[in-house]
Parts: sequence; C-alpha cells; structure tokens
Amino acid sequence: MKRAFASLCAALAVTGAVVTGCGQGPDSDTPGPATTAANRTGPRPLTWQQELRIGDAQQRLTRRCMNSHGFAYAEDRTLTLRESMPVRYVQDDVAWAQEYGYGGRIEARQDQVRLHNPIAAYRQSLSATRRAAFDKALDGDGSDVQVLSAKLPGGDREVRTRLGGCTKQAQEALYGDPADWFRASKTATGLPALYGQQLLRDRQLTTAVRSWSRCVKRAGLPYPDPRAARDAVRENTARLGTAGADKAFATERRTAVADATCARATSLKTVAAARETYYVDRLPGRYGEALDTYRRLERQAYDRAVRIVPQRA
Amino acid sequence: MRKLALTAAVIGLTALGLGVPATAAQAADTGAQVTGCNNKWPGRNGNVYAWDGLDCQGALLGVTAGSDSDWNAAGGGFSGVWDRASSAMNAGYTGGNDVVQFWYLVGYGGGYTCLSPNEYFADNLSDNYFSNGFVVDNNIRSHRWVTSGSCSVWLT
Repeated sequence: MKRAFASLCAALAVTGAVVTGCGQGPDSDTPGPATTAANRTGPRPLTWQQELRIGDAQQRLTRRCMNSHGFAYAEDRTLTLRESMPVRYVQDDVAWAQEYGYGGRIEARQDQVRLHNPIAAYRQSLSATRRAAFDKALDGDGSDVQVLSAKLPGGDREVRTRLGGCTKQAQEALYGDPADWFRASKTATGLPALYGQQLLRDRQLTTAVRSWSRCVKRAGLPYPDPRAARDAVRENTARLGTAGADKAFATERRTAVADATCARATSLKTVAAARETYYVDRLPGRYGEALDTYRRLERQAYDRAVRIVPQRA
Repeated sequence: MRKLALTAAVIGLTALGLGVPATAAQAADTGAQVTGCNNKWPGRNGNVYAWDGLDCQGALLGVTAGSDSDWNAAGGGFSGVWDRASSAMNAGYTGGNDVVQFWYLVGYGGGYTCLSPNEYFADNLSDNYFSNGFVVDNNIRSHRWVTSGSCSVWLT
C-alpha cells in the first residue's frame, strides 16, 4: 500500500475521525477514543486497516475474474499492515516514527514496485489481439460499460466515471449498486471542501498547533506546524540524494519522533478530531444522510472483504 | 516563485469549492462522440499521462507508473514540465493506491486535485481547481498515487 507522505486523513481533512476512521495505530483494528468520541448515532466510520482490506479484496476479486477469462493478474500486497499505516496530518505514533520516520523509505520502495508492475509487464508481453481481449475483460467495452455521474458537494460540479468488465464486477461484489456507491462516496469524501477554510482558522485548532510548534522548537526543530516539518524533511532528503540517504533518514526519524511526541503531548489528534466533528455536524442534513449511506456501504464492503482476503501480516 | 496564500494550504485542508459550473467532462461513454483522449487511451497499463494541450493533444509531457515529486527535475517520468499540463489520464490498475493526486507545488504542496482510474481522463483542466483554489490548468508541478480516501477534490 503506497505511503501517503504527510497526506490528510481520508475524507476528514485532518484526522479522519468522522468520515472514515483513523485507527489508533498499526496494530489496532478498532477506532481510538478520538474516533469514538466523534461518532454520531449513525454507522461508525471504518479504520484505515479495514479500508486497506477492502482494497485488497478488490484486487483479489479482479484477479479471480481475470483468471476466469484466461488471463493472469497479479495482486500487490508488498507492504505489511504496519508499513501501510497512512501518515496523516496528525501522526502521534512515536514507535512507528522511530522505526519508519515519516515513511519515506516505505514510499520509495512502493514506488519501485509500481515502476515494475507485473500486471503491466504481463499485458505488454501479450500479442496485440490478446492484449485487446485483456483490456476488454478488465474494463469491458461498448454496452457493457456503465457511465455514472455524481454532483460534488458545494456547487454544480459533476464528476463522471465509467465501469465495465472485471473492474466493475469487483466493485459491485463489494459495494453493491455502483451508482449508489459512486454518489455516496463522492459526496461524503467531498465534504471537507465545504468546511476546510473554517477548520483551518479554527481557534482551538490553531492554538493546539501553536503548542505543538513550541514543543518541537524545544526539541530544536523550529516548525510552525506538522506540514512544515515534513516539507523540510522531504527537501532535505532530496538534497542529500542517494549518497546521503542514511543521513537523510536519520534526520527524518528524528523529526518524525519529535513531531509524534509533541502531537501526543498537546493532544493534537483529539483537538483536531473534535473540531472537525464540530464543523461536520453543522453541515446541512442531506450531507449527514450521504455520510451515513457512505459508511453503511463501506461497512458492508468490509464485511464482504473479510471473507475474501486475510488481513495483511 | 508564486506568491500564494500558503496559510490556506498549511494544514492541507481543502478550500471551499468555488462553485464554478462544470462543463460536462468528455470522459465519453459508448456514444459516437470520438475525442482525442478516447483515441489516446492505451488500455490499462498502470501509467499516468499528461499533455500540454486540451483533450490529450499537443506534446506528451510525461508518462510513468510511479510518483514524481518535481515535474521540473530529472527523473520520475516528468522533467522540465512545470505549469504546462492541460489534460491528464489515469491508466492505473484499480484497488489500493489507484488515484493520481496532482499538486500545485513541488513536493506535494499547495493544493491538490485527484483523478480516479475509473474516470480514465480529464480532457480540460481549465475548469478545475485545486483544493487551494488555484486553477489546475498549466499549474501542476508534482503528482503521486494515493487511495481515494485521501481525496475530497476531484477533476471533472
């Protein structure tokens, strides 16, 4: 699973506590206290471990379908469960930071896997006729293809998608009706766009971030916020290049540990989750419905996924 | 160097949608309409593509199955092509990190927008905006592969 270097927690811009869950740590399969506190009476969000399993199930189903059409199809389960932990804006797992920093090396390894994708190599090795048959099996063509559209929250923007072949079958097997899932997911995951600016300026959050900043400064790292810390690490790593890779990684780990330690010390995750919940709860009612539908369909997909693939080691 | 409201992207949160009416994306379906992007579709080969012109026309700026944190720097599939892309394509394999996330700045900074493998391509980036409010057209400087859960802003 590719690392999302300093990325945001799922559809919830900061901690993922509301729209999708952010597990406590790499080994936990249950939502942490921040997530639980953020829940409303509707269906609970999924943890990142659960979402990973759904993605793995999707790959497994696609492979089975392609196999039934007479084609090989590789699955990618390169990263361990622990390595797959997404690094969100708030990353407060100190042990993980000590071992993996911000996940820069995991990310680099995953990029190498992408660049040598066995599916691509296999497809390339096929004759032109067979390759065309492969593409048709994978994505369908003509009347087999379903075109879906959904409005994005906050305006009139519409996004479209096309589904066919084994790709469609795999998605259907997990999420049910593709139109329902497409609408629900685009709405739910688009919600942060509606409150992002306000959350950004939220006084409680900015106060907590300032505390974080004072904390890391005491550790000798003068960063105004976690984003700045990660940008600096990335730039440093790029600058040192291959020759200075070990030195760069040492810096990455040191920074990430201070980042995580201070995030814990300032309860940054709890504050961020609470403030985001505050804004989500104030969205118009219809968005609450979309959110509930999204969570329900995700949970259904997960319940199906556990019967299709094991959890990653 | 661009001056921009970096504070808006400090936490990397998505900006409020600008509510710009979307022109219908030409991710064409089974109709008779034939577009440049449709013609350029290579089958699902794992790669992301970006072109200088609309509708997948003009110079092919780059192609790669990996991520590229700097579209100017050598390596990564894209080099010397900051601020030029006007159309893009995601021919990646589905499941896992199958969404391409395009960024306004190098190193995945500033603001982002996402292109799903099920959407295939975005033929006109001039009616799309990054999460920080800037137009996407001629403004992409880096990209990486993520899960759909990391996206609340999508190319239409």
